[in-house]
Amino acid sequence: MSVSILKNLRIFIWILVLVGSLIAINPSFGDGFDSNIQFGIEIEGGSWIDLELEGNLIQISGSRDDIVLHLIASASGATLDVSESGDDSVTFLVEDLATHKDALEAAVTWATVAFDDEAGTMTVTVSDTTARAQLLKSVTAGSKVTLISFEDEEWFEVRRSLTEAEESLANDLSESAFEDYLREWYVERLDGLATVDAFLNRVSPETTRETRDIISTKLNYLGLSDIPVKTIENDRYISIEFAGRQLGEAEQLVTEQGKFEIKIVAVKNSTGQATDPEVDVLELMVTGDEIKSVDHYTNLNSTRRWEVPFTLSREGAEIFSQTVIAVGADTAPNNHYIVMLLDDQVVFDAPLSADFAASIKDGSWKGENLSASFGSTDEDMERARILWIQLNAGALPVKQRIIAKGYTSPALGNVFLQQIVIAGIVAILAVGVIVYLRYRKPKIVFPLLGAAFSETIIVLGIAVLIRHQLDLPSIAGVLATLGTGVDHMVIITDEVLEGEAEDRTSKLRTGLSKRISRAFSIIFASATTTIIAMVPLAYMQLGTLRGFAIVTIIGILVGVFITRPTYAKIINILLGRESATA
Amino acid sequence: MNLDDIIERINIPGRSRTVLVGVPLALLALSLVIIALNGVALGTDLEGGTLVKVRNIDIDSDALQSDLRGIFGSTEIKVRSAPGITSGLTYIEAPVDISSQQLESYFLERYPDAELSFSVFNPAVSRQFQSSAVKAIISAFVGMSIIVFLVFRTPIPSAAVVLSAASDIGITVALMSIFGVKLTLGTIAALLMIIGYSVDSDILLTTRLIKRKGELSEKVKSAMKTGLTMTLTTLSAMAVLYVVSQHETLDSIAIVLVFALVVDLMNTWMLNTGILMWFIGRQAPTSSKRRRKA
Repeated sequence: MSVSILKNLRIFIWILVLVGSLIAINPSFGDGFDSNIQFGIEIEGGSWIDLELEGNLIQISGSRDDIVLHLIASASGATLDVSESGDDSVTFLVEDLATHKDALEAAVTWATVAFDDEAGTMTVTVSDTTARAQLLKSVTAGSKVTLISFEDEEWFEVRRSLTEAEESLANDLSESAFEDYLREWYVERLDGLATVDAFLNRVSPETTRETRDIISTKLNYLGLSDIPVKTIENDRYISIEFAGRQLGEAEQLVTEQGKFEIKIVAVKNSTGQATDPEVDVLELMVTGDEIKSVDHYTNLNSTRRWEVPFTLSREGAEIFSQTVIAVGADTAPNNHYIVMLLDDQVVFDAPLSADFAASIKDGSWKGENLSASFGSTDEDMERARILWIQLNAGALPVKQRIIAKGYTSPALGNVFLQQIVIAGIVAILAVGVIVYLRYRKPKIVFPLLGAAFSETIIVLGIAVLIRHQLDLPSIAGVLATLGTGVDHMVIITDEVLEGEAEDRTSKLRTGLSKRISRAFSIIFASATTTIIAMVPLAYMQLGTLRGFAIVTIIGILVGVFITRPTYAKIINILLGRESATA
Repeated sequence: MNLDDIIERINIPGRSRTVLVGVPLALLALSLVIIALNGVALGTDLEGGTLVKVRNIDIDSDALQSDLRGIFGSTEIKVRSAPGITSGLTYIEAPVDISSQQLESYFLERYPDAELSFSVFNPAVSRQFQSSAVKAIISAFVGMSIIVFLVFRTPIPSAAVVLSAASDIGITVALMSIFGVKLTLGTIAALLMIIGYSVDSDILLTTRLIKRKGELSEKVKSAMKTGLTMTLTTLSAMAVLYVVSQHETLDSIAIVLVFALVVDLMNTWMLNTGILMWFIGRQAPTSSKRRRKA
């Protein structure tokens, strides 16, 4: 009795999983076919964009003292000589220290310096890492350089953008040749001060993910919350899918930045404290293009006010200063409000502070330490966040470039889907015909087709549950598992039939369960092999092939553990009865 | 005519081992020469460029091609219509420097009802795909080989399975080269599927031949009966997919698998069977019980 319950349990589990999958898929045929299955953009209709982020990972080595000497000498014009070298500091003997002192102090913004006027020396406290980072920064015209860890090694990430000529070179050269070109570029610029030990033409995974988050936040802010932004190829590229949108619109959404302007009130006509852009005369100083870098919005400890700190470019700072002086704000700062506008909406409005005016007047301000500050409420935080997103959209941490894109009209996608459904149905029928011709028994043909069909439904159900998007290669994976599923059921059927033949011809009876387990030893071997072949693909994250591998693995597991044992039971019951009556 | 008659007529166990093994190996060698000389065309995703699929346009491929070439000034633009029974889909391939927006507006201006799909791949990312794809194929193949050796634990039968899978891929790629089927991410997926299908029939064959008792030629025939059914079902499903679908990805996957399954019939039932029969025959006289000697 217990055996028959076990048999039924198998079938029971199978029915349970099948029904569960159908509920997950939730198909409806009211107004055309609809379901919970998420199809890829080529079926759904819409556009997609893949972005590459420009920047390099580099490892260099060289003498810290030589590097520091070179950096200081070239920036200050002074003549130096190493007099003493310690673990974390280096002392230079400076020719005519008194004359060069100011220039030296200005030249070293990246380390602490101490002067000994009597000895005529200058001591720079600087680590080896900082020196190398600073060298990379100086040869790449001030690109941001950070020390990061990538694949268990320390690298410098240099956020160096490609020139237009280099972008077209990147398209003409092979990947490794272009990487060699960039490497040579660094070797030449480093000019023997440091050697390039390793080089990769990519940014760090963290940078890619940070950029992905900024893009995603921006799209969310624009009210496009359901747009998936993901990183692909080991966090090297960013891939974005815009269901139902035209490509032009999608490109605009990704590349467009909010219009940000900083203006100054030249003549105040309105009454009251606040500036009224309609009435007051405003002078434009800088736009978002002049913003060199934006820091994350923060909440100031002292005032609880939300603010977005940013820095202007040198040119931006110059125009800013000139305009402040031109409208006379440097002498009467309180009468001149600084207004920041985002897409023509005032987001910041406050008088120029006296300290700031003074530093503009004496020329010591170079564009740093600006911030747009808001109140302390949650709404203010949201405003700070939006400004941060918008400023960042123009100033993503790295330059982006579109490397692949595409669009499918929803109508055409629908045609593809129809063809796939028709192909699936006709394929199952064709398999049915072949199986019938071979076995000539409906008792075999229908359970086999039913099991194969249920396997497909369970795979689709699992795909829905794990929120896997069915792109075309994934659909190919579904078909592949259908194919191996049928193959394996043929193996089971033949083992069972052959066993029966043996039973009749010889006295040597091979037990039913033994025959089934013989079939399963073949099935397990081939299933394991296919899964092992697919695992690297699933990890490799090669955008499209990953989906194929995942679906194939799911399909094989479902087949081996659910549908094939069930089929074996069913066929046993059906054929067992038949041989008993024959 | 039923399967038993066909198997009797082919009579694999009665044929010369040299022929069984030699013919597939000669074809594999020829295939490698063809691939080396003729190469395999790459699709736009692996080479870079624009692929446009368009439906509901009232013009034939040749006229469209010369018009596009004239307007965009590039002889590299290629136009062809999709195979399949529900015709009407046209493919256009253009080099990457032709703007996809301009191509799109070309169609929408002239054919307002046109339904378009297009994809643009920058050559840099394509090359990245290429190297990833090569890594994927190699790692899949190595993984498969390791499992096969672990399952059979005998060098020659395991090597025969691996050789047969390699030969399936090699000859299929040569057929792609001859028939101009492009290597794309989709057809690479198909080549990886071949590994799965190939080992399916090979493992069946090897298990039946070396792990079961019975007379060798009967075992071969019985394995063939199962194996041919397996291959024919999949073959029919793929042929249907090729005929019905017009989407290039699915189409090319289907045709590659049709090639591969036909090739696999030869490699399983000639190459692999030939090697196994020779292996078993060589072992039988010296030690009938111990098979792990080789």
